[in-house]
Amino acid sequence: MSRHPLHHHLLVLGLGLVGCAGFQPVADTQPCLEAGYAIAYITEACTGDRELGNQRYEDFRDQYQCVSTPPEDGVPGVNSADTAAPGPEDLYDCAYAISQLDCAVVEDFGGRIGQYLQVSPACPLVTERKAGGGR
Amino acid sequence: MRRALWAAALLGVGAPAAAGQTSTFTPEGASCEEVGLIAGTAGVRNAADAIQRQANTYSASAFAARHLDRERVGAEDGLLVVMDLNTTYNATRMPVFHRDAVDDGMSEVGDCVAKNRVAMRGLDMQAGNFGLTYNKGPVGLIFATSLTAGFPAYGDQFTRVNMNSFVAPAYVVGIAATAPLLDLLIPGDLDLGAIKLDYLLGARVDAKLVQASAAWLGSKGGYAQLSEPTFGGYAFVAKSIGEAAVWQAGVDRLDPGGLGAADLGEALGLTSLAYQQLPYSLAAPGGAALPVIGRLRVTGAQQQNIARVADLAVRYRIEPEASLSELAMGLHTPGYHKPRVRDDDEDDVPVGLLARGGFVSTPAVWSQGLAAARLPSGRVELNGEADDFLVRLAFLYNDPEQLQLYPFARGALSYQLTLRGDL
Repeated sequence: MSRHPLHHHLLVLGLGLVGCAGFQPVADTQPCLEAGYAIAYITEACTGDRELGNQRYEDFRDQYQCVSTPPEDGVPGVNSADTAAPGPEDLYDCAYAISQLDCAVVEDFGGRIGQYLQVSPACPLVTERKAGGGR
Repeated sequence: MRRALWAAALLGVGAPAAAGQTSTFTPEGASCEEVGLIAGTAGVRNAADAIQRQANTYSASAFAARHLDRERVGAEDGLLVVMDLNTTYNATRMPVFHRDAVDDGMSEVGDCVAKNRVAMRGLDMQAGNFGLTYNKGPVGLIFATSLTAGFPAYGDQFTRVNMNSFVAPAYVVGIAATAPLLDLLIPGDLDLGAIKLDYLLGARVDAKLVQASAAWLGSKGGYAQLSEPTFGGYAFVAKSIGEAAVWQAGVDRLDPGGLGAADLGEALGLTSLAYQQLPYSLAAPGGAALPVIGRLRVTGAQQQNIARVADLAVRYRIEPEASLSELAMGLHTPGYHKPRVRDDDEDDVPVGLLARGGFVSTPAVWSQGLAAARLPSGRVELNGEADDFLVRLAFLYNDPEQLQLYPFARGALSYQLTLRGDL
């Protein structure tokens, strides 16, 4: 006779089926990747053109690389979470600022990826231009 | 305040992991309780998108069309009651930060240490439907409800499964079943952000050659449906004020056997075709939807009960990018899928089992943080039937229907439970 009640076995079965945890560490390069996704997003949102959004992400990837160890204590002058102390979540201010751009500004920036990466002080902390990486 | 109460009712049940206990099921940092979403990230936009599309997929109108109206074509007088429950783990993953990982910048709480301040959390979703229809002669009444919700996954797996398998379903089904009463007691918007509630009330007429129904939606809109019994053709449209219409049309289980070609019916089985059209918008950073910028148009074909034991399925995405989205085959106990018109006693087995596998392809969508991918998909389904009562339990990995509509649901696992009583 099992020592455990039926619901215990059901939960263990469920845990096995779920497999992947709901909570995982985040990669150091995530704030940088999010900046690229934000460029694709704001392009698609303003133009309705998914292919153009994809193209600008690929341009971002071709021209810029992620800083592998961005600072853990956040971005000087940015406290996006409104917490007592700045923290690593502030590095996502680059993606946030890009995703908030007005469509007129996006039209003006066009395909110049470097322009998007000047809209927040977090951007140069998470990404840098590749050697010979275009505009 | 009302929103807070709803959220508390659904999400505030079940304590987070005990602090300091790290194990396989309780990863380090699982005691972090104060979860903040990081706006501007693809994961958070995807989460808002998933919640909206789930509300369309499991809407009261889609449920009514699939489980109530089409099941009643040519039925005898009586009452049909159906309940459907869907749970999805990791519909997407999103970067979050934990406010309690740093207490006044000095101390740390439990195992919620500073290095876990930013982490990836899954989005778990629940959808519950409840409906009934009563018909006497050529006329009938129809009632259906839906409640869909999404929330960041619990860090502790044990609590998470407990919540998703037992606690949340009870709330989802309970609230869904009483939706009109709640709307009457607390009138107002049924769209509460991460929690969306809807219901429909209407009437149906069965004129033998064609069956029609029309209903009023609690979300202030309408639903209309037409179907015909000979080939299983159907179409429905649902539209709420201020929102674009949702369309579906197709053929449901076309049965050559029912058209007099018994041998062909035995060999070919049942044919289903479906077309679905939803509004497509991009979620804004704050969670609000931007204006609709296009349509999601998807289609699919299924050949079921081939030689009574096999299935084939194909799905194709038409818009926003044209591509094959699923190719799958399955095997099952003989006669697992029932024809719409049941006159074949041979098919009435009490328990059935179906296993289906294939692949799903999803396009590159960098605005959602997604590279193009081809993923394995699988479905295992158990079906039990006694007299006029049916129970169906399905487990799905990389559900093609879900991925066709929200391609970021990669690696998602879903459970579906359907209960039906024909009284």
